[in-house]
Formats: sequence, structure tokens, C-alpha cells
Amino acid sequence: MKITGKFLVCTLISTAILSAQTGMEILEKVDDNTVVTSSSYRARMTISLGGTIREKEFTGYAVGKEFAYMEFTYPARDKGTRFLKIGDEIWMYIPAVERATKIAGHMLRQSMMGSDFSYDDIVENRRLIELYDVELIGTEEIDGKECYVLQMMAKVTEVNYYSRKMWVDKNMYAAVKVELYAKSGKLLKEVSISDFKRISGYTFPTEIKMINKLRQNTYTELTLEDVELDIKIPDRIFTKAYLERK
Amino acid sequence: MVEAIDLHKDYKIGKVLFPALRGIDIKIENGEFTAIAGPSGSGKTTLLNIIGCLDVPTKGKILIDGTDISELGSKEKAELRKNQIGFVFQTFNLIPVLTAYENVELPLILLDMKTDKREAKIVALLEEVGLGEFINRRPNEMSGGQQQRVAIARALVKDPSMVLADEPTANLDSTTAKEILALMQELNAKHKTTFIFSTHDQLVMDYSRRTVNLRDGRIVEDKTKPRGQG
Amino acid sequence: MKIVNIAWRNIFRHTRRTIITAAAISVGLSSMIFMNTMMNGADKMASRNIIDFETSHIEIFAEGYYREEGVFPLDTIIENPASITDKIRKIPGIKGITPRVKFQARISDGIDELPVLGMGVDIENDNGIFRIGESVVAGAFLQGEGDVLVGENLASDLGLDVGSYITIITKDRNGTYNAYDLTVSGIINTGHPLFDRNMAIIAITQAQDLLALGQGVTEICIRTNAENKLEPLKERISQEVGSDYEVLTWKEMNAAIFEISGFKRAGQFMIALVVVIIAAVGIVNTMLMAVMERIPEIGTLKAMGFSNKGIVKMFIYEGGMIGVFGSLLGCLFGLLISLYLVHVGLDFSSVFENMDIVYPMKFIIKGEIDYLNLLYVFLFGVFVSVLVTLWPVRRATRLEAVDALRHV
Repeated sequence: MKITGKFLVCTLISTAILSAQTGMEILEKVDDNTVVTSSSYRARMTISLGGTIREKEFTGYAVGKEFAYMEFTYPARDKGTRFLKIGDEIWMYIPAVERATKIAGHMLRQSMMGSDFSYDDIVENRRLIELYDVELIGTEEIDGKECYVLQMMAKVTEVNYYSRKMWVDKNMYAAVKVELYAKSGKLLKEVSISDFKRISGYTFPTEIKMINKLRQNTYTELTLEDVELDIKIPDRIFTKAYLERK
Repeated sequence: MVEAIDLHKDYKIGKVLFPALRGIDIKIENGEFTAIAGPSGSGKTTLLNIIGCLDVPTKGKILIDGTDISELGSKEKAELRKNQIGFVFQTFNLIPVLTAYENVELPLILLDMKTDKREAKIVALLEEVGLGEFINRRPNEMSGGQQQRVAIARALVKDPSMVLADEPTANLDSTTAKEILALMQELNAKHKTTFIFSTHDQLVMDYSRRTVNLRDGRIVEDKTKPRGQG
Repeated sequence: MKIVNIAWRNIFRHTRRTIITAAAISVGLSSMIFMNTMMNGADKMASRNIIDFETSHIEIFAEGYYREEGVFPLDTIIENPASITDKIRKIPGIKGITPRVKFQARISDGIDELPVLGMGVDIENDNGIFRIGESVVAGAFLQGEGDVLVGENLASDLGLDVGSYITIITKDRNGTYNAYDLTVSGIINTGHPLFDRNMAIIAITQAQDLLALGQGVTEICIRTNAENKLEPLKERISQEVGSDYEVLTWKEMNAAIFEISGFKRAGQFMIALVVVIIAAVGIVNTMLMAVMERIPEIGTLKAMGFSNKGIVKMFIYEGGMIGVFGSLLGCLFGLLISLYLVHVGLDFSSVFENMDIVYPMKFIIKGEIDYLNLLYVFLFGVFVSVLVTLWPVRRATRLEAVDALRHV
């Protein structure tokens, strides 16, 4: 009874505060915050799999949500492996093969470079507000930060994840945690962002942790460094010719 | 009748031309029993081979019953040998996997003679050469003399016009040689078949009526014993 | 007495040489027969596995579905299978019909995640057409939604037992992730590697739900009464269902596999051919020796008036007889090995255990004898023997009688 009472009070209070802002408006702001015109960065990927930890490094460039380019620089066996994203197509180049191959169909579901990210996670390029109906279902504290909790249900058919639950930092209007659900309601992945940097007026996530909930003891951490935003990036980087260059 | 006119035969051994026959003129009548004698290298085997259509002269003519055989093709010569000429060899040359009977049968197979007809003929002939009991023996089960008797029967079975015998007694002891020569003499008389031998064996010359002596490819002597002798 | 008799006696001049030559031929031929028997057996087993587990005799797909092996598109499916089933049910010769849904998925036991081929089967009907039910080695066939059947190898890879939980995850036809927790109801051992290593079988209704297919299925499988005469039936079904659907026989769908098998056959035939060629060299050698040692004899025969034709004939008979003898021996050996293969078989499982084999069968191969092939192999052996004899015999024909006679 006590718990129920407390929950009720909480709900009432939060509804009062939130009435000023709808879930849609919050998500709109989150989308605005993540959609940069262009970016370049160095990334370190830490893949933890049942206790063993592997590190990989790559540099990346992106323009909007349409174009992205990644090239691995470490370790030696992955060096020179490149990815190019144009819209919802991904091309992969492995030096030993000397030809780019398209990653399509069910291959998109596979893990990228052994991490907890699937290629799907990289392809997604639409604003969330276009894909989901949003409902603000409360506030919660995460790592000492006050967050809005958004419940999102797909409003179009072509989405990777049927529903999402998102915790949005009240101050930064940036997602600090996202849960990704299957249509059946099963939790598939959990993304948490533990660090942001203020760059060129954006609140940009620089520490991202992805956990595949279907497997135990695995996670992938992505740390971004030397981030530059809204800079000029040559168009030729986002071409197959550049991907396949020797 | 066999007639040789200015018969020459040269062999080329490496680059050296070796003349085996240097102008032979000879006539051998049907039914003769003639020895061509001479030391080895005198050309007697070459002459016999040319008469037997096995070899061709370099120059000159060789006529058998008026036909110049040096003009014949190899198929025609084979035909001639098949029908007209029987051979007896120094080393007998029987087919080792065949019995005496079968060896004698071979020329008749070539002539496409019917089985029943040839059987009578072969058995009679083998009886005639004194091998009645040996018709089913293989060559390696017979003595040299017996083998040569088979060879003679084989040469005669097709009723040829002549039998050419190349040193027929060279591999036989003198007793056996005499028997073989006597047999051939008898068959010559009976079948009227021409017998021509090459030999350097005095015994053969003793048995033959005519002896043609060759030396270095030329005839040096041609003598015929008077009738009743030899 | 005929020439053939002389040839017959000649082959016994050197009995040992003849036997060795013939034995070489027989080794070549029996290895050809052995390979043929094995390949036939392998193909037969593969066919059985395909028919009994994978495709049945004839399958119906939506036009455009069947593009290539290993691709299972969900955008071209049979939306209303019931109407198709009703149309063809009465066609004589059809023994049973069942729908199936095939899809690419991943399964996870909470620790590892593996890609699998998911398959939804009609629990009521599937076992009338396929033999998955008979292949359950532990637990039971699917009882309903929430159950999954996995192959023995997959179970041991993931450490699954009857009653274990796994999650199946895939994307539905719209590209949205969907996942279900399932209980392993049974473990199957089919002998078909795809099923034993790589397959998760669930109720068709659950698969339709998982993939957002509604009533749709990817294929309708048909078992017939006439396995060897499927074409007329296929035509009939084709007419009945119309051009929106594609009707394929199991052979058409597996042309690639039988093509691979064809290549393998060709490869193995080449190996056997090499053995036969070695044997042929043996014949050449034997016949060459026969010619050389019989030169005076050839001279004698020629002096007697034998034509080249007659002499060639004699040697050809001789080579041919060795060939016949060797070929008979080879066929007999081959048949004995084949009978062993048919009744006992060869166990390759240890060799291929860790290999990724696409050939749909387990590696205890039982042979299948093709008696017509046996006859061909025999004729081939004789033909080759005669053919290769021609060369040494040419030497005999080139000899002049006079030279042959002088040769001692």
C-alpha cells in the first residue's frame, strides 16, 4: 500500500510538471541535438565478451545522417577495413579482398566487427520523431541526473525496433539511456551514454555503451575523441572509389 | 620357270654400299632340285630371297613363269608367296604355340580352304613326311629333324610351284640332314615341285642334281649332274 | 583353327605377364566402378534427405520467391495458402500437402548467438509429408507455440537439452526486430546437415506471428505417389494455381547440388581414368614386348603370305583378350567392392566432422550399384585395350619380311 501511495504521488507531481511539455516536444529537442550537419572523430571501441576484452580503433566522418565513413586503424588485423554508409546501404572493404562488398538483407542483423552493434544500428538515419509515437511516462534519476522517461511505439512499419524506452537528461535534452525492444516486447539492447561534450553548440555523446541483452556478459563501449562538428568534409570520401582506394 | 637376267643387289650399310649380287643370269626349270652354294657373304641367301619375292633387286629382272616380279607391288608379291612359294628355313621357324598339324594348316587358312578338305590333306602330308604320330605335338616337343619335317610339310601343303629352302640342314646333325634331304628328293620326284636350296653344306650339294656356285655375288660355276646320279 | 585361336594361345605364352597386365586394367576399372557406386549412393542419400526433410517432391512458391539458394525473402510469399491448397487438393497423385515458412534468424541461449535457418511447420500435417517427427531422438515433436525443435549438432554446440530455453530473434517482413523465448521440446537427428546443425523448427503459426506474415507462408510442400514422374503432375499443379505462383520439383531446386555432384563425378572419373591410362600403358608395354620377341615369327608369317591386316588382327585379338580378361576381373572386383558398399557402407563422419559441407547428407555413405554403368565400364576397358594395342602393332606391320626373318 505504501509503495502504491508513493507511486501515485510521484505520478501526480510529475504530470503536473510535465503538462508544460509533451513527449513529442522532448523528442523533437533530442533529435535536434543529435542531428549535426557533419562530424569527424577518432573512436575507440572496447568489446567485452565473457570477460575477454578486445580493443579496436577507427576514424570516422559523417555528413548528416545520410553519409558516413569509417576506417579501422587498430589492431593490425583489422587495419584498413573500411565502411561506407550511403543512405541505408552499407559497403564494406577488406584489404585482403580488395573489393567492396555490399552488406544487405539478413547480413545487416549481424554484429559489426564482433561488437554489440549490428550494422542495422548504424544504418538507422531517420529522425525518431518520424518513426515513433511518443508518450512521456514519468521522470527518473539516472546517475544523479534528472531524466524524462519516454515510451516510444512505432507508428510506421519499417522500423528496426518496434518500441523504445528513452531516458532524456532534463538539462541537456540528450538521451542518456535507451532500451530497444522487439515487437514481442522482449528487450534486445540497451544503450547508455555516460559522457557528453559541448562542441560547437551541440551536446555530443562521447561515451556510448551498448549491451546486447540476448547474451550475457557482453557489452561494447565506444569512446569518441577529437570530435569536430559542422566542418567541411570533402564529398569524395563518401564514394565507392575512395572506399576501394589502394 | 625362274629366270634371272643381270640381277644386281646392293645393300647400304651405313654410308657404305655393299654389293651382294653383281649380275646374276640364271634359268631354273620347273621340277628342278637345285642348290645355290657358296660361302657366307657370297649372295646366295639374297638370291633366294629375291626369287622368293621377299626382296627386290637393285637392278635386273627376275621372271617367274614369264612374269617380272620386280614390277609387282607388295600385296601382289604376298599373293604370289601365298599361292606359289613354300619356304623352309634354317631355324625351322615354326609357330611355337601351334601343334605340328596347326602349323601345317596355317597356309591353308590363308587360302580359305574348307576345314574337312584341309584335314585330309594335312594328315596325309604329315604321314608322308613321317610324322603321323606327332601331329598334335608342339615344336618344343619335337627334335630338330622333326621340326624341319613339319616345316617341309608346311611348305608343300598348298601345292606350291616351288619350295625355297634357306640352309635347311645347317641346324641338323648329318644323319638327320641326310634323312631330310632324302625326304625332299622324294617329294620333288613325287610332287614335281621345284626345290631351290641355298647352302654351303657339301651334303646338300651331293643330293642336288644341279649346283650353282656363287662367289662375291657372281656365278662361278653351274654344273648339272647327268641323270641317274645323286 | 582360326587367327583368334592363335591369339588365344599367344596370351598364354607369358601367363604371368598377361595376368599382371590384366590385373592393372582390373584395378583401374574396379576403381571406376567403386567411385560410381559411391557417388550413386551419396546422390541417393542426398535425394532422400532433400525429399524427406527439405522440399518434399514438389513445392509451390509465390512467383519471384525462388531466386537463389540460401535466400529467403519475405516480400514475395504466398499470402493465402488455403486457397492454393483447396485448388490442388483434388488433383490425383497428390498424397499430402503442407505449408511451411522458412526464414533467416539467430538463436541465443543467453551466452552465445548463432545464425540459423528458422522453419515454421504445420504441427498437424508436416509429419504426413516429411519425416521430422520420426527423427526426434530426445523429447517430443512440437506440441504447440513456444516449442522449438533443434538438430543434434546445434544442440550440442549450444549445450541444449530437452527443456532448455532459447531466444529466437529475427526481423519481420517489415524489417522490425522480433524475438520469442522458446522451450526445446525435442532434439532431432535427420542425417541432413542443414537440419542437424543449422535449423530451428517452430510451429507455423508462431513463425507467421514472428515474421508478421498473417496467414502467409513461404512455400507449400507436396508429396506425391509418383516420385519418378513428377513433370506431368507439376504441369497440372502449375495450371491449377496460375502464373502468380511458381511450381518446382525437388530436382529443379537442387540442380546446383547435383551439378556439384556432377563435377565430383567428373573429377573422380578423371582419377580413375588416369589409373586406366596407367593400365593402358601396361598393355602397350606388354604388346610391344610381344611384337619385339616375335619379329622372326612375324617374318615367317609374312613370307607365307600373311597380309599386314592378318597380322594386325592377330595382335588386336591378343590385346583385346587381355582387355576382356582384365575388364571382367575389374568388373568382378568392382562388383564385390560395390556389394560391400551397399551392405556395409563407408564411414566418412570422422573426416568431415568439422567441415562445412553443403551436401545434404551424413557421411556414412551406402553404395548404389548401377549395373548399366558396369557394362559401360567393361566395354570401355575392352575398347581402350584394343585401341592402345594399335600402336605397338604398327611396328610389326612396318617390318619387311626379309628384315624380320634376318632378325634373331
